[in-house]
Amino acid sequence: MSKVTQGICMIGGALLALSLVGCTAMEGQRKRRAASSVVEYLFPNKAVKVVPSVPYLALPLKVGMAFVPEVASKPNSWRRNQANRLNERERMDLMDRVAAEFKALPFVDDIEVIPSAYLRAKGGFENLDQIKTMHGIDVIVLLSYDQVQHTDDSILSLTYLTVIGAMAIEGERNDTSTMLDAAVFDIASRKMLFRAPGTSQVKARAAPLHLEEELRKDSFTGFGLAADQLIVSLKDQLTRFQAKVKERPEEYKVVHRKGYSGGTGGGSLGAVYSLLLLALGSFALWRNRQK
Amino acid sequence: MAKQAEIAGRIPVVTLSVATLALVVYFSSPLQELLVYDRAAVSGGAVWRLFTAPFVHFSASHIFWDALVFVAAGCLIETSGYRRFGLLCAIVAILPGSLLFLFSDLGRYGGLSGLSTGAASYLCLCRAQAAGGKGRIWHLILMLILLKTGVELAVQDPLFAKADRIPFRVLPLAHIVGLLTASFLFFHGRLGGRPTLTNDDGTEPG
Repeated sequence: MSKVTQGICMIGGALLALSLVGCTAMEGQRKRRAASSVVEYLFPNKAVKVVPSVPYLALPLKVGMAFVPEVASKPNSWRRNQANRLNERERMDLMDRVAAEFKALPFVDDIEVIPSAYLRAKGGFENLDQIKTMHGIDVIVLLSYDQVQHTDDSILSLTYLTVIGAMAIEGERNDTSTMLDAAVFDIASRKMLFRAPGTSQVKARAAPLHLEEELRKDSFTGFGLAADQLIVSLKDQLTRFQAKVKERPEEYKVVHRKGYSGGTGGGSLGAVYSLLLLALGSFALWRNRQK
Repeated sequence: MAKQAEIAGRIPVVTLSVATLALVVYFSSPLQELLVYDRAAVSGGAVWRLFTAPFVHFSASHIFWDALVFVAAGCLIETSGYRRFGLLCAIVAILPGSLLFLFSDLGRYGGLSGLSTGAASYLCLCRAQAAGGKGRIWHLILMLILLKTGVELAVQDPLFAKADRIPFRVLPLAHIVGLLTASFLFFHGRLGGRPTLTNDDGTEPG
């Protein structure tokens, strides 16, 4: 083999090796998604129509809070799709934070954080009825989420051709968008009382070696920031809901449990007692006149 | 006779003022928000809410029945010439709110029923006294008010108003205050030698 041929072979081999490295290191844009849907959970059977009725809200309310089961991932989802899924402990921590806001409300008696195991995928209102019986709640806050993580190669990803580059240079651009949604339902009437969203956007960079770790971190940060916004939004929606209940008493019936000392109180005689007083008073006056 | 005609022809100023104010407030949301007993607002300095709360009502039936009894009893008291009705209204307006602020964590409160109970009790007491031995029916009404208030106090629940049909909790406190104030003013007047009422012929008793 001539020297020229040997040189060509060496260059060719080197290019082949580099292109293989490049193939593994630069994968273009990648996307991963984790989502759960209240609609899919509550209305799994499109043929069955759920007609909500007028809710009777008995104060103080007994509230439950739960994450709806996650939507099943498609089989061709991007590799290692578990990174942006909340584990049970993270879910409970997140719910505790949101629940603290509800606990502070004077018309909420108790708020129960319900573990995911109690919710069946596509369980619908039948599942909620079971939870209502088991936990003794009237109203439930259903939390759902949709988190999408995009990973792009930046120009720095060219350095992955070197071993050091792949380990140290943060050439991967991660973009994490999170939407956390709280929908509050009166279980007995099947009526959605109000909903509040919280969103967040987290941008970060990572080296390929730490990509998974960084994505997990971004995912958790994304959920945390979305929860912060959700809490603010919940307060706002709750104020609007209270105003709506006052404005439309025919749509929302508010009653008070015996012994409830908070909320609104009023001096009221009632129709029966008023009529009794008036009838007796009139009779007394008539008797006096007769005499 | 002239005095009697003069008393009978009197316009029940206190009753009509209170009822009109309650009606105006009912149809004005900003006024309702300004005048309702709101614990947080009172703590923040809006002390007028302590005595303006009775003029605020939370539903049409709430104002209707409260005002109906108040107007009926109040008009009879004023046109009969019974004294200290204005003082009774002032005390019953301010006391429940003040007691709630001091001893309860109730957020909001409103309603004229304390004044209605006070007016009805006062009317019964005055009429029973005026009728002498023939005033048993007034005593009977008074007993009914007393019994209802007592039972409500004991069970901490309204007897006649259905709790599941109204957008608030019924407070027996206002009724108790109304009844006690009416009794106090009536008996205090008698014991102190200050005439509580004028007779039907317009002259003061005794």
